[in-house]
Amino acid sequence: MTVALGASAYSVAIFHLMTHAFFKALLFLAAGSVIIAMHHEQNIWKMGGLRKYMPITWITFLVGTLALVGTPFFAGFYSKDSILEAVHLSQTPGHTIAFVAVLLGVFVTSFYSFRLYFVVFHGKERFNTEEQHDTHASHDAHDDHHHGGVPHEPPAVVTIPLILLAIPSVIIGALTIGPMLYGDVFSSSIFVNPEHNPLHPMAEEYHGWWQYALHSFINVNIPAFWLALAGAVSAWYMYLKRPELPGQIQAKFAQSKPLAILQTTLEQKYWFDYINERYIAGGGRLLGRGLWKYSDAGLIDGLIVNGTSKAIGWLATIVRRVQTGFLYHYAFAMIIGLLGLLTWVVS
Amino acid sequence: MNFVTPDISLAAPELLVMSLTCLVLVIDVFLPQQQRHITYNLTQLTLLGALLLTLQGFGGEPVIGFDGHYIRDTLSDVLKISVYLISAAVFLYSRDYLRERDLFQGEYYVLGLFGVLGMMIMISAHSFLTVYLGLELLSLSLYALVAFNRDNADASEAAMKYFVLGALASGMLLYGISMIYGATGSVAIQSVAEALAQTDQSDNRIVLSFGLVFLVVGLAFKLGAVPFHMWLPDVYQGAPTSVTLYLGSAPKLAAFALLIRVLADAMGMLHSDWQQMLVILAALSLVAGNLIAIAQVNIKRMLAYSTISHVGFLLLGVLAGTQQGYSSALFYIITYVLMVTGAFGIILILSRAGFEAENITDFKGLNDRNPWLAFLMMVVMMSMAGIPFLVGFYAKLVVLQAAISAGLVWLAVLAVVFSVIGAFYYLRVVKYIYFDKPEAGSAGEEAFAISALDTTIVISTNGLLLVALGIYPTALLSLCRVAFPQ
Amino acid sequence: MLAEFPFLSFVIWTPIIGGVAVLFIGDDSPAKAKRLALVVALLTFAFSLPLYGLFNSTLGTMQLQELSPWIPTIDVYYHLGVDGFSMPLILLTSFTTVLVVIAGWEVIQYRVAQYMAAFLVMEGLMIGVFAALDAILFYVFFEAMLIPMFLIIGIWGGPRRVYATIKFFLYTFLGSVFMLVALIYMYFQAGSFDILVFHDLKLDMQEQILIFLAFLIAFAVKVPMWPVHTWLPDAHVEAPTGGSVILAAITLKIGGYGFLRFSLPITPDAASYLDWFIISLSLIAVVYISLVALVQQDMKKLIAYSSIAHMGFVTLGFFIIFNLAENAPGSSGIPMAIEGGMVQMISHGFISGALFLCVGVLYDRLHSRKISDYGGVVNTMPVFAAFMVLFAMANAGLPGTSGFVGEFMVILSSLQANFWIAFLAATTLILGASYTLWLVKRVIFGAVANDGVAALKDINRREIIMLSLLAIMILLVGIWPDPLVSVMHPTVDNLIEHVTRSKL
Repeated sequence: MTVALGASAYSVAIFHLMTHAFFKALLFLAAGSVIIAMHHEQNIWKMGGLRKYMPITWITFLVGTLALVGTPFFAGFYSKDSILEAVHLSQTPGHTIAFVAVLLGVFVTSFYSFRLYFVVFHGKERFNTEEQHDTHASHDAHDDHHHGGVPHEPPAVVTIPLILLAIPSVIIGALTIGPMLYGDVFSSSIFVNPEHNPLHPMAEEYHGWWQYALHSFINVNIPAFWLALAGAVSAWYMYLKRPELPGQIQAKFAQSKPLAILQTTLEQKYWFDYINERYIAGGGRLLGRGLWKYSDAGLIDGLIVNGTSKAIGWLATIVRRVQTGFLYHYAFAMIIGLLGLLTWVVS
Repeated sequence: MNFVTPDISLAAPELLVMSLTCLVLVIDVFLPQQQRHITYNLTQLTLLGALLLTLQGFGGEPVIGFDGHYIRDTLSDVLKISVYLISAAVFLYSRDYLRERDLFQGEYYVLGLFGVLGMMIMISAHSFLTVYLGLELLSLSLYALVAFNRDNADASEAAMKYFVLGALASGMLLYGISMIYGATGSVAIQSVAEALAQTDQSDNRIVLSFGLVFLVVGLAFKLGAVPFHMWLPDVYQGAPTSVTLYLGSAPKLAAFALLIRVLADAMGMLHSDWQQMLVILAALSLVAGNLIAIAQVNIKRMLAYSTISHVGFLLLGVLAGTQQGYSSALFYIITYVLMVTGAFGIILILSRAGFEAENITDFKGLNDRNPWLAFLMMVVMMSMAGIPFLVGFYAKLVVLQAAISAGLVWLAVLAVVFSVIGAFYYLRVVKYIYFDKPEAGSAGEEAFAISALDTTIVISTNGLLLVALGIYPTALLSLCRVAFPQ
Repeated sequence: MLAEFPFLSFVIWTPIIGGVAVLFIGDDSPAKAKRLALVVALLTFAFSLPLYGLFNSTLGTMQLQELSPWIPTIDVYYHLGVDGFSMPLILLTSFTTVLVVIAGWEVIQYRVAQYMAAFLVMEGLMIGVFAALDAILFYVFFEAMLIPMFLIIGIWGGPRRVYATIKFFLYTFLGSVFMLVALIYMYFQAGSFDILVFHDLKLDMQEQILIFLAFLIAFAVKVPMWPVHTWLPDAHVEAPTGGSVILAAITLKIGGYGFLRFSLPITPDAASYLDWFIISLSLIAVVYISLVALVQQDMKKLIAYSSIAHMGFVTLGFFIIFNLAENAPGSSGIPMAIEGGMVQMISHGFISGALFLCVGVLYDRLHSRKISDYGGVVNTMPVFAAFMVLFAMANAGLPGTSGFVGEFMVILSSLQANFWIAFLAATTLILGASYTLWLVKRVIFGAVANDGVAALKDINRREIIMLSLLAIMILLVGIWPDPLVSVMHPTVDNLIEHVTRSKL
């Protein structure tokens, strides 16, 4: 979407936001459905082969994935492809890099999406009903719904929204691409500098949603479909056909130091969470504790406030010693006072 | 020889008090112990009679009589009425306390009445001679009263200290008077003032300054200003509480009158000289009084130091040297006496046979035992601290106003800062009363069971007066303004 | 006719006299005392409502004035009146007191009559502070508040109550005495104690600076501003729930109100000269105190520190105007800054009150304020959790709640003055969200922490009513702040006119 904005294709960006809303919501909901079925288990390596147990979730998830990777005729395809086209036609500096990156993104997206899909819904059933019960008790004490050993489709309250979302995930792109990109839905609410509006050349080549989709199979400039397919196939090959392969690759990676660092960096999400947790939040807490203990409690309260009151108390005990109880001291004090006043006045 | 009989009706209240006191003295000798209450009643009647006489001649232009030795003006009327009322309350609060300690004897009342007479003379004095006369009458009564419980070693020691130091101070005062007499040729206040105003006093400058210093020292001793305050804590603590109450209340009014008569009326021309001295005394009193009070555990002693700090505030009003300042100081001293009477009154009520509510910790949990007395004590303490909607605040307000009008902003700031420090020890009393749980044997257990109805009514009036005057101080404040016409 | 009726006096004296009446019922019949207290509080609230109706929001001057001699000997008058600043604060006070009475209904078992009486008297005195137009009258109310609060913390407070309450008393007392000296000094310059006369009093720079500092000490302690804030966490932690609510919701506002009523109009040149100082202290309050709030283990202390940080916004808003007047004269940011500060005060009154009530709800059940003693409260108290999350969000400044409006207005106007000031101020959005959400996360969410939490009962009808009222107000101000902002608009213009006119 941001790429689309960069290419001045604002309506495309909003179009993508809209289609994305449907299929991403679908995917999250389906994932939620799976998680409920697996008793709050989110680790995909403890799933597998779920399609047998929860067909609705399986199908809708597949629809969502297909939409996400940009399969022609699905919602995601129209918006994604429009973005690619816009970038391709864009004259903005750096558009080539952006275009390559986006194309690469298509492949990667497809790869990880299908990896998820295959691992969760196909392959071996890795969940262990016995073990699940054990971890369960300690894991969430507030789970109060019934759970059997075998995952099952959640109730209608989950499945109906899934189906309802699946439908637009398929058709919404085809239905709305015309009015939204080339029609006048945004007639005046979006202003684009006509000099680099990529939609103008795009509009010239646009001949309806059917044509547009068919065109993607043979589009040499933008081989998005083939890249997506490649991603899906590699995911299938690596995680279903030869599941030992990723482990081997990882082992190879580990042998070479720079690659290992790369992998760890990726695993740690570029260390963002780590830095945030360790230095920003932790530093904030450390700073706060320091300010509290040393500045607030120590300096202001301890030294200045209580210190003053202690000093006054101490002074009081010193000053009261003047009151010795001896008569001659008292008389002496009076004489001193008298002399003091005398010298004050006379001088 | 032309002997003109002075207009003795001018001094009717004094004459009444004197004759009735002698009567009480005689009657008391013949009374058996169980009828001692007759002495008490007669004493109260004496005060009532004096009150009526004073009220009868209240207000109007100042009248000077007895060859210029005596004055009756609004100030004297206001102060005398306050003395009667306060003394009446004092005698009332003391009654049950004395009875429980087998101290319910005629001497207390007779000496007390003589003290009242001394105060009245001081208040109406218009010459240094009368000033001294009244002062000595009061002081000698007080010395005797402090030693009144003769079996108590502390009381005897306190009386001894008080007597010796008091004699020293009186000597200084007399010495000062003699020097002023030497410089001006008169002891009558009016003549002294006129002499200072008319003639060029540059020749007598040194003598006058010396005389002034000795006068101020004598006055400072009577008031208890630092560094002439040393007697005060020991005497307050050593004397029986009923005597402390007596000596801490009404005589302050007389001492204030002394200050006004001597410094303002007689030495008004030397204002700039004595103002400096009072500034020093006030500052020292504020600092030392408040500081040392923090360290006290005995409430009588604490109140003694609190008195010293209040004297500092009082001096703020006087040292301004304006009529407004004097009237502010008058307001201050009246409200202060009202507060201190209430405070010692409550201590007296809480003290029972064999138990003195002397330590601050004795007030622990008073609210749980006697909420009403607890409330009154809190009112008194907060008023002394100068928290508004209690009269103590306005007292501080008007004297601060006086000090600032005299350009002494720094002194006002010092005063308020130390009043914050002072607030701590008043708060501490409130803390014990309200926040702590009662301990076995602490005060207030059966307080109202043994205090008589009249005591209850008077102490309540006393406390509520602080609130009432706090909400509407105008009446008393206007009266004080009238006492010092512009 | 209706406007002639002395509403202000009624709003001040009804609770005070009612409080005395409650006191006379005595602690022996607590039920009666409670009922009377509620009636008095509701009556006062009813008396305060016409203030809004009768207030002419097109005028920036004092309205509903009452003037009669009080202590004419020293030129002190019983002079009351409200403008767009004081009127909302009076309503806030009477509203909050009703909640406090409800909050103490079952919880307070010890000396019920005295408790209720103290709060009612306190209410009257606080309203008096907001309504007073005579400097001495103001000071009298200002100081007199100390007594009931001293007793409230000291009698019904927690284990360290004595330390906390004496600290509170002496801290604020020390702050205010300098103000008294300044007021008397100005009396001799102006010949009157009338605050409105003080507004037009000519003062030279040196006088202004000294007077400004005297006021600053008094109000900075009340607000409280860094570094004179240390009484607040102690007082809040030890105070009973009602005491914390009143402290946070109202008495802190008196400091902010003092700046508007005294410091800015009376000493505009000194305020302009020293505005950097106040702004620095405010920013320190926002950043430093927020960081300190982050690490608190005691819920009340955390909210207390958060109050200080939020009040930093108020002082920032009030004093950024000089910078704006210099850099962007006539900009809309000037009134917006002051209005933002005011909205922040009102909103913080609701939010902090609500949060303290929430902590009170938990404390009443488990008798602990430690965050670590809770966790997973949502499982046993879902209704309460919903309220607490809402209030926490409001505290973090979520749009749609009142907490957002004031902060946003202040940040927006600071941005017109100086980017870095606005930047530092805006860090509170992150820090505020961190400490509040972290608090909520640890207390409300997660697994049930212990048997105590597992046995918790959800809030009853009384508590639901109490929290709903606050929730409604928070959302109302958040969604539709206009009724609040519009009443103060002319008053703000009037103030700005005073402030921008040099007195030299």
